Amino acid sequence: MLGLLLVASPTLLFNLLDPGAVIFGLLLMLLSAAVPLLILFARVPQLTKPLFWILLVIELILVAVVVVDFSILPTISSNATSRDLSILFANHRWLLFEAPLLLVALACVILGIYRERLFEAHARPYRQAVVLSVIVSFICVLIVTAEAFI
Amino acid sequence: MKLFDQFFKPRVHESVAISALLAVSLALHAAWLSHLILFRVPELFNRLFLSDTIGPIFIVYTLSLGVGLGSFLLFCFFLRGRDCTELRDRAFWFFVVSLIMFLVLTFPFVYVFEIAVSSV
Repeated sequence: MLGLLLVASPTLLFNLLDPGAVIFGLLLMLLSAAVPLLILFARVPQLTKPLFWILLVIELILVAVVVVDFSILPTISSNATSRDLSILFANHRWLLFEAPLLLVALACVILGIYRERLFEAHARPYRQAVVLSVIVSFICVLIVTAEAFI
Repeated sequence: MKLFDQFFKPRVHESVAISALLAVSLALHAAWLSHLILFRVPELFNRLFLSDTIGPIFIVYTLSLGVGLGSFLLFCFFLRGRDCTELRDRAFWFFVVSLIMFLVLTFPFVYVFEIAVSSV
């Protein structure tokens, strides 16, 4: 097995050169940053603005991941002989990845419209929708990551 | 002066937020439904096969994003300037149900499931 960091000829650079891996890593990091912000923003309404910008960057990265994967995607056949477990999980990953695309866009629209007024009493369903969207998006991306090892 | 402050408070375009909520819900429904149809009716799948390199999932993406964008514009047009108070909770619960349905019905062992009736 080749080493990443501590051996004579590390392979970290080659791993970092892969655009798909870099973009996906960035996506995971930003989503991990968005979740604590989401938990905190109930107490600090000023965090709405940074959360909006982070979600906007996440949306752009999600689009980038889809574009990169569509451009290098091998054919997914749907005929009977190739309906094995890996094909099923590949389909599942693609479908699961669509949810964050839609949900993060929704959270961005709601945050962009309401801003600090998201904490007014009448905006409770929208606040819940934003929280639900970001948490489900994070879980979906984690599941996609886990399934990619299958 | 407080009376005038109320008039100059920035307006919240609630109709746009509610349109986005409904549009995303419909897009989620379109996604699981189109995927199920493509999986169950291969004839339709063969007709809609757009590109060899991209595969069938591109159709699902295109359909659901098309439904989402189209319905967002339609809802924005119809709800513009209207009082959305009554729609608020209903739209949110519609969104929750759509999300649950999407997550359950895109699970491989759910949409692949079928009951075969064998003749004796």
